[in-house]
Amino acid sequence: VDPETDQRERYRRVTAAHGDAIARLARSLEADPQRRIELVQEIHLQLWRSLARFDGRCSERTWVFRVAHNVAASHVDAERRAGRTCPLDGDPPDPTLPSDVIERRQAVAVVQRLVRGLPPLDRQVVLLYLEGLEAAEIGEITGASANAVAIRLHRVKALLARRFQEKGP
Amino acid sequence: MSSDPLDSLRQAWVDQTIELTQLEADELRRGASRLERQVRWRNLGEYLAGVLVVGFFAGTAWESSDPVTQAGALLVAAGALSIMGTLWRRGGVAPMPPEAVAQQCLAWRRQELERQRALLAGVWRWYLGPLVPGLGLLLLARALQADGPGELAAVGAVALLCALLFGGVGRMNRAAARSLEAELAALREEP
Repeated sequence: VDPETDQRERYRRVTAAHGDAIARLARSLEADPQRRIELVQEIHLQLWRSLARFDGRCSERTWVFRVAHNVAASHVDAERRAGRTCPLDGDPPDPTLPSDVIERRQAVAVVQRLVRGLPPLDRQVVLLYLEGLEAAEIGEITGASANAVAIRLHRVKALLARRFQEKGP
Repeated sequence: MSSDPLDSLRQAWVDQTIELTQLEADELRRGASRLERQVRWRNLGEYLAGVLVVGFFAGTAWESSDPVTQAGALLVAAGALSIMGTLWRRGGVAPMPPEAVAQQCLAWRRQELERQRALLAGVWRWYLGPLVPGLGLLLLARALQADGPGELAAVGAVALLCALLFGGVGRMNRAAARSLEAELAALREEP
């Protein structure tokens, strides 16, 4: 298989598997729809370029999340430097939806707002936790020690639990 | 929410309705070319600006018959060359290798912060400093040629404005560098 075909196939495979996580990451960090599209495209572009050098020393999933979070972190820094801080209020939920759907969307919106205010490493740990990753893989992606990940997960879980006990979902 | 709110929350998180993006090979190739073009144009812009400054002050030195003005103009041109050299050495020209973005997030962040901090903290050394001797001499030349106290005062005002401008830029950059240093120190203390 020639390298470009291999790169293309790998890109298709990883974006089919993790493209939704990339979109959720962008949605949680960028409120402006146009800049969110640009962020998603930038992540995809950097992912595609990097996959030409994928060395198999970590899983494809770890590779994808590292690229996505690194590009997203640079995007957040650039937005901050440019003085663009768009609130993540989003559209009000459609009142005709079932109440449990509204509750779930409101819960997600609360988490998105909370995540945006966290320092970068905490933010990455929370988002990876919400994507269902275990502490060991979060450590492999972020480079934080098992202890650092455990401390953050404990802190974040407590924060989330407290937030939802106070407000309800 | 159920009795285990965080599990429900994780489920709600992954159940979000999203638009899946998958770029076609052509779009990706175009995007990669666009990135490379942006880097090339940015570099070209920086070097053109540098060449203009060097050309202008070299021309000033050539045309002037006053040795202080000549020395000042040549020193400003040399300062601009020094700035261009620093931009070249610090990687303004070479884009990052494509796999660099796949390093662990903490390493990426440290690298980004360190790069920015070094540029900001050293702004006097690599950006403002090289221009000061030449600009100083040019102002001195104007002061020596001043025709009366009014013109001398005007040169003094320009000198003061330059000092305030350079001081302000230096101060802002140092403050930004200190903020990045604090962030780097916090990263180093990660358990």
